[in-house]
Amino acid sequence: MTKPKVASDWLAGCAGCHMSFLDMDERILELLKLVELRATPITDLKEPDEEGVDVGILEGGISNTYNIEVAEKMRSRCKILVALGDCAVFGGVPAMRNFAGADEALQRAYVEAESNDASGMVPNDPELSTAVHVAPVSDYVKVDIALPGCAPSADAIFEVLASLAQGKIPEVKGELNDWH
Amino acid sequence: MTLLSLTINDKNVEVETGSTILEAAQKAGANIPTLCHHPQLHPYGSCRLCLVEVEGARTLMPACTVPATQNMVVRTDTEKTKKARNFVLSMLFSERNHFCMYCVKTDGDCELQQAAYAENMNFWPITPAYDPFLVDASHEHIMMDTNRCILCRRCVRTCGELVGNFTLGFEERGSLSQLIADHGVPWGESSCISCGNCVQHCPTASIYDRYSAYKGRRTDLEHTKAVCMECSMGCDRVLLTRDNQLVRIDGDESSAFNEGLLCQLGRYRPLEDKRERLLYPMVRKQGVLTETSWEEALQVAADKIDQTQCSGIRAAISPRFSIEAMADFAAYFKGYLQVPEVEVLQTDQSSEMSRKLAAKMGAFEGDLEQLKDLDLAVVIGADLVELQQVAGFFLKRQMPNGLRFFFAGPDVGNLDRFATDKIIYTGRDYLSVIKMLVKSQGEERGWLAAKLGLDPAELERFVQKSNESSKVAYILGSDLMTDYNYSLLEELMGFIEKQPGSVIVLKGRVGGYAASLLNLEPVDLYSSISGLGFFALGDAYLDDATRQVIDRSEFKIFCTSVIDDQRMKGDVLLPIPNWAELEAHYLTGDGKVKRAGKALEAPGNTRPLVDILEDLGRRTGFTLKHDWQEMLKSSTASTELVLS
Repeated sequence: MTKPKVASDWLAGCAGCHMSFLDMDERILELLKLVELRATPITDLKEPDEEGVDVGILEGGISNTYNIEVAEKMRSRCKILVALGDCAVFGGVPAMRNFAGADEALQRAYVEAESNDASGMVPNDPELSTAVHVAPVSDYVKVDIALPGCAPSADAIFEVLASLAQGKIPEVKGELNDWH
Repeated sequence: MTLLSLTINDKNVEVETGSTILEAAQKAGANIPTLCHHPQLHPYGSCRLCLVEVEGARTLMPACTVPATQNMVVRTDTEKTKKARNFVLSMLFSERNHFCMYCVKTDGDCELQQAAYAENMNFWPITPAYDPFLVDASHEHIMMDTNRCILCRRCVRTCGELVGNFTLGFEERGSLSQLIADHGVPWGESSCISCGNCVQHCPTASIYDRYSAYKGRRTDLEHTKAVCMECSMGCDRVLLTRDNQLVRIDGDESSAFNEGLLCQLGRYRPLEDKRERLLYPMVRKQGVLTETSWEEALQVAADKIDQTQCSGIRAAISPRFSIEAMADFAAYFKGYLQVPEVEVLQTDQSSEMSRKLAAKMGAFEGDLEQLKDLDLAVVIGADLVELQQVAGFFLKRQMPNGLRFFFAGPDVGNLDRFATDKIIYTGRDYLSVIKMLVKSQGEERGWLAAKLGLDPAELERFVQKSNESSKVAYILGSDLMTDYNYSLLEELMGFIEKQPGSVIVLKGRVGGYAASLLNLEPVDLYSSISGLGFFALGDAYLDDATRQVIDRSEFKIFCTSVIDDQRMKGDVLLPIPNWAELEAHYLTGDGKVKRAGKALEAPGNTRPLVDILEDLGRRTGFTLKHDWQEMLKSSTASTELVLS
């Protein structure tokens, strides 16, 4: 039997969930016996295989058009999509922006911030993605497993991936379900 | 009372008529989740988390408000109820800002989060609305962030039903419902009395206090049961500590007396105390206070006591000390050294007067708990606004329900704001007040009423109605309970004895009653003794009169836990632990001995007052015998004494 392929990517998050993933320490070796780790933001390969992977993991919520693109690509290339962490599941910290709106947030960050000089302006290159209302991944693509937490503990991530590797769909409840 | 029989999850259970389905379910061991429900508050039914299936009912029923009926068949854990609970939670999470990751109240503290965990909810089916709501940071002690509000109104109900203050309320409707203070004024400028009971009852982080915010989960803090030290009510409270720091104080919800309630003094005063602590003994050498060893400091004190004639010694103790400490203080200075004036500082004469009356008529006082259920409250010369606030809560919360309220004293504060039937006299002419109540009839009563500025017809009506009252309390306070008014008091007692109802004397600060029973007298402000002053000050805030008393002694020995300008005038300073750093007993105003646990380790090199007295006793040739229980038992108490 071939090992299931796993790919991950991050959207509007802080990379903390991936740090928590690394926090499983030597159990990564155990995990790698069970799965084949493909593209991740912390390895060389950056995009999930065109021919698809078994499990896709997304950290962070959707905060701009690029995030939507990445999320949709991951969804189209994986069989089971895991939303990893509070931002991916609920919107999380970036979603605080919704209370004021993206325009006000950009204005504050690029123009009014004390560290800016007088020339401060909101970046407007047409190549750049545009901000959208911050939303959980599930608002744009179907999520199969939600693992909340800020960040989810290494134990929880290991537990979920180990179950998936053995062909089981893990139930996120009890100790695994900890939003912080 | 008749019993009803019903079936809950196939289990038969019998409950009293008037019980709700929720109460029946609890009896049957069925766990129904709740959010807006609180056992001390009237059922409200706003959150709908407790929906259950009732056979024959068209819809699901909220268990917390629907009364149980005979032969009802209830199911609490079906697919339908689970779906409903999930939906209710989805709606709650969608309405406002319920993101846990940047919330002050995290795991284990937030009832909303716990409810979601219990339903195994791991995402929100409905995306939140992101409408910003009011944040009010104008209050000295408490923060209000209504973005976290779930509209359960537990705070509103606590404020009204338990405290009787009715400051908090709601404006707007539906999803726009907004928690406000008074008519929408900043909370800090409202009629709020800062008791903080709303903080204790808020299920989310909509209301939280500044002191414990971001200092860890309540469940991670150490909890120590203690008794409140601020007045003679002796409310039960819980000290929450972490890393030897006092983080938060809660009312003890398991207490049958205050049922979790505290006032501003009990809840926030100790947290505001940022005074510097005395960490080591100090002795004045060549005019300069110098750090020294316990050995030297105690020897200097003992020598001074030995050298001074007893008639030249003045010993006074703050009423904030425990019974043990006060008993030893009395035993050492009064029993052994025969010091003429062994006194208690910063107290009033209420305990003294009660004792004097008790010597004539025996224990005449009732239990403070009686204040919770009254038809008529007659308050004379009592302060229920500054001290004894919780007694004020007991009265205030009954007023909208028709408690008849008679008040005579200098300041009624906000006590009568919601009284429906009241006579308020603000003044101090107790002679006329008591004459009016006790002796006068008809015309004379009318004349006295007019003299006090009251409406005679209104008074007459009040008196006639009051005669129907069976649950009556005469609440007497320190402004009335003075030596000056003693004969008046005797007259009043003679009258009350023939009436239904009981007398409750509010005895000022904590410890005043115990001090009085241990024969410590209120401090004589005009005493001429000026030689050696031994003052056990502890952490008391000193008023001007006390400062003057202290200043009169030439040589000053202080037992204190804090340092201030007055204390720095001492000649020997002995550091002692404060109230939270000792296990000790305190006597409430209605005669109950309560134990306070030790919540913190004292900083520096401190010794408890009882150890200091024992040591001084040894150095001055005296062995202290410590039996405060016997000392209390042999005293003339005005209440029943409950020593255990």
